[in-house]
Amino acid sequence: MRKAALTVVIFLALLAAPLVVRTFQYYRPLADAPPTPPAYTGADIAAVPTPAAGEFEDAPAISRTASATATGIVILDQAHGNQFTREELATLDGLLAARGLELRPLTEGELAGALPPAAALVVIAPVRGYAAADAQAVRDFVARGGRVLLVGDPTRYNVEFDETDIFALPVIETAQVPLNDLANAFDITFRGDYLYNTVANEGNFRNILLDESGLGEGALTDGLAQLALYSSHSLQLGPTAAPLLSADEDTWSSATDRPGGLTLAALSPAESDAGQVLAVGDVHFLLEPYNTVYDNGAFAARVADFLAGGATDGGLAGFPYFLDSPVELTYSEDPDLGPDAFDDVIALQAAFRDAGLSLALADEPAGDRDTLTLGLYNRADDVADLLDAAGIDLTITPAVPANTGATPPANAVRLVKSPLGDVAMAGTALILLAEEGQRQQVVVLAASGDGLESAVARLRGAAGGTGADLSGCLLQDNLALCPTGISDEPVEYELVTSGPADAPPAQPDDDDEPDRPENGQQPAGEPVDQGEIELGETKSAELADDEAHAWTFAGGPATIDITVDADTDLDAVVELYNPNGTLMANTDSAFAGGVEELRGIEIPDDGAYRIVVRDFFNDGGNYELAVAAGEPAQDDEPQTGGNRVFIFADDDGEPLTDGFTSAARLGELLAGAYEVTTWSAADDGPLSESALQGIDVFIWESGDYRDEAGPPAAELGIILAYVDAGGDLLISGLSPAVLGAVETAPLGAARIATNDPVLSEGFSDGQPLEFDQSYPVAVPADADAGASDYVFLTRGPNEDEAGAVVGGGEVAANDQRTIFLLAPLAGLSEANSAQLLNNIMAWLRS
Amino acid sequence: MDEHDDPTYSPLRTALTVLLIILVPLVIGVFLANRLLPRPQIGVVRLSYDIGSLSTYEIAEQLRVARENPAIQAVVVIINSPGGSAAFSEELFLDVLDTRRELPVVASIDLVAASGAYYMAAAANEIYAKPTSAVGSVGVIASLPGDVFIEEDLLTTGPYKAFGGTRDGYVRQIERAKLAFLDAVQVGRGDRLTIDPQTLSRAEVYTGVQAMEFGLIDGLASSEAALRRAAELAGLRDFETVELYPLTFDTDFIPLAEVRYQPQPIDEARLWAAPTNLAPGLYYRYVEPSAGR
Repeated sequence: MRKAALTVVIFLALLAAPLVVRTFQYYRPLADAPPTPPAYTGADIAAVPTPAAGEFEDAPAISRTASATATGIVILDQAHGNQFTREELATLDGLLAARGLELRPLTEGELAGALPPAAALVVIAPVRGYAAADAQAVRDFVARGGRVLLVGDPTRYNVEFDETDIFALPVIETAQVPLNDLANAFDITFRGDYLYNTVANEGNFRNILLDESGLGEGALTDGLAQLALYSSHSLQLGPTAAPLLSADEDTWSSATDRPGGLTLAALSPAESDAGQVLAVGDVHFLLEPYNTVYDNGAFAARVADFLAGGATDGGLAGFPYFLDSPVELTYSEDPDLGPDAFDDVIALQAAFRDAGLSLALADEPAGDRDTLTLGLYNRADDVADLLDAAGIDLTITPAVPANTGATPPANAVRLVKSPLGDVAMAGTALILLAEEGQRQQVVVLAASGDGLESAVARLRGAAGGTGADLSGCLLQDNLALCPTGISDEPVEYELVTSGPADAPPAQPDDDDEPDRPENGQQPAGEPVDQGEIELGETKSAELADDEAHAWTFAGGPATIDITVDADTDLDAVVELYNPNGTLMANTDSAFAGGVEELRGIEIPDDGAYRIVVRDFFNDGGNYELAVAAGEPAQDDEPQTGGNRVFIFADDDGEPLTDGFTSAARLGELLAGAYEVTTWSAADDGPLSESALQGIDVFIWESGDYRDEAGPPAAELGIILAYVDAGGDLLISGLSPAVLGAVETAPLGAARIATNDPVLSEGFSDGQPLEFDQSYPVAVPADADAGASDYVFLTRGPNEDEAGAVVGGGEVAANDQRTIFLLAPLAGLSEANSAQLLNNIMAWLRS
Repeated sequence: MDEHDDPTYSPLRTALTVLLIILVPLVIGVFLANRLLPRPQIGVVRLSYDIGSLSTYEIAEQLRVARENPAIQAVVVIINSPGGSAAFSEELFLDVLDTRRELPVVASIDLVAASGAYYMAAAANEIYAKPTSAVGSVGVIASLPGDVFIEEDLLTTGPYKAFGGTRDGYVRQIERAKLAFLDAVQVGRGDRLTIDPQTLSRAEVYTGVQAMEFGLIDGLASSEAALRRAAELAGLRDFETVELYPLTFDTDFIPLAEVRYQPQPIDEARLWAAPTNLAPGLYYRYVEPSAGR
């Protein structure tokens, strides 16, 4: 029995042995059990509450509507890739509006042109750099009292892709560097970092909480308890800037990965409440919904107050924003206004509308309204008082002749003398702001109508109400001297504005109408040939869009009138080309629906002349073209000759006094404008025929030399031949040889007779002209014709033979002109001699 | 009577009897031991690439198999992942934690266990990495919703029915998700964690060496060492390694043995590639910077 039991035990032991062995082979029975897994419920995660909205009621500290000097404009830079939308700034817009400010975007152009009329400038997150001129303009703006808000934001950046390398990483362009173009001048530098706080923040590490300890002193932060900036750059400050918002010691900069000492907003200059430049590293406090958190809204309102506190006096550069509506537009000395003037008026009105002002043309200014006066230097009497008050003197000697084509004499003086210095009138426009109490008067003067147009274009400035464009002008306070860009600009006698209109009248309520290009829009292709048109024929046709018509006229030689009667939707432009394709004449003097006429066109031959008809706006329309016989055009233009002057110093006679001629004075006065040849009888011998070849004006100047026998026959023959050929002649001297043994009488003073406007230009009727001494001067037998048409100088009332002619002119049948001047030109004052000679030359060549 | 005198005594018979008595139980014992005590196994689970719905499902199933298979005594999770969707990361965290209650789980980080991948690893008994493995990025990334609006022809019963919530609300959700992440790491690592939550919330990616200093991992070790450590935790002297994927999902339908399941090598370009067109939502994911300054 025991044996069996033992056997069973052994059997079982042996049976279990493999299991035991395997167990010890695989496991460590005595190994420690792994620790109990932790319990996880996730129930203790702290809430991240939304902060309560701050209690804020906007109470503007400043209202610009009550300010007489403020323009109320805040320029919002959007011309430098600024990373925001206008919609985002609705809150700021509203805050500024509540303070009487208008947020005006600058979408293109330079700050320099936009800042003068503004009270403040707002620059938010630009990614394109600023030119040195922009930075200087901002410095100047601040120096004038303007305020600047510079706002960066590390979340506002531009991503640039390298199109030449598709594998290149895109590059992030932040606003930091462009902002520093402007900020560095004020000892403020935006760092290219972002701030973070992982200990105490507003819902996220990048949302920086600021309590009272982080708020600087001053109007911007007084009374505020807590702000939250939702991502911010830090600012590095120089000695003239002071921190306004500072982060706590748990706030870190991503740039240094160091905590503490970080500034989020700063003012420059540093003096309390004297800051004019506010730099903030975060834009969110201005945006919804971040402006509702804590005191962010109140801070945004303080910033708006800060901007409203800008008080700039941009002077003339602020045109037209310093004007109050309604502004009256006048022309000095009330010229007749034509289409050219209307173009300027219409354009100015549009520019004024952009600036929120009204401009009305006024014959008689009300006297108590702001005015804009346009005119020429030569017609500036209406604004003489304003010019005098500004220390400006317009010097025009000799007087400008009525015939505008005349070339001024070499000694002509046309100067604008101003506190900015003396400048030539030609090529320069003057813009003056004269302030009289609350009334502002702007005077714009130029040498010519074209110059005035150039100046008006500057006043119109860029589109969008950015104010006048005085770039390139010599500008100081209320005075600007601007180049007109017109080469050889004449100083015109009077304003002529009768040229073809450049543009149809602007619709007052339609600011969106595109500007009319100077010559309209050219069709893309060649004009479509419409066949021939004969003299006396009328053709009807319809222009399609973007099409021009070409008609052939081969009925010459003839004098023709070309008429195009356009439908109301067609603003016709008519051009006439000769067979060589050269433009002979063109017209676009009427608006849509008007009649265009080319009258008195001389067609010299029977060649194929092309009449091209097109629509100014390229929109097409119906028209009738007529070619009729016309009258030769009256040539109203003054005849202008050449510029070769021959001065014959007839100095080989007997001197009546010391022996002199005025040849040298004549030569000096004429040298600049004429090609002068001087011949001395004593030095050069008898006058030769060849010497007068190609001469335009012959001056026979005998000074005080007298030849009672008269001129030598040969010499006289040469001169008469010249005269017979139509040559103009000036005979001057105390007793010219041509008069022979004529009686003389002492002459110390003559006086002006204004029978002819050209010969008396620059002088008043009866104005005495005194000589440097009394001279024995010839008194011709018929010298009492003082009231004749061309007498311009007579003996003075206290002289012997008072009233006798001293200077006069004659016009021959062939329009040959001769002037007698029985007086020594060199004996007159420099100004009078210059003016007198200028008048004589102008008359001779008219 | 002497047995030798027993006429029935046969030495041969006696020898056979003894042999029978010894061999039979031994043979049976060996047979039974093979049946009753198979060689213990350590299951290997691989988390590769993004954490998404598919990867989460596959890993969760493998962990379930590990828990239900008595032969599997421990699990090693080999990680090469930058993380992914927040909720799926949390699912893996909870699955690992559940598994850990039944058998040891060791995480072995190869190249990267960032963000959601580390979230999952934090639930393991122990975490091992290589000296330069990328570890950490404890944080949340998400896009904020856009501006709200209403439409004439789309009627909803609440102002945010069509948008899910406010931007501000979303900010709070994200921040709270971050706090949950930090809490999970704290729970998983316990006292071993030496880095403070504020520093950890910077969401930096650390090297394995740094991670060990901060207590984010338990050591620097190879995957083989991690297997041995798992065996140690499971009290195993001897074990075999099994891939849980083919054990979980039938791959035998593939007739050719040479193409049967084998772990795929990690495509590093894919691993580090920044995601494109991420769907709205919260992510525990490390994203390689895609732009430079």
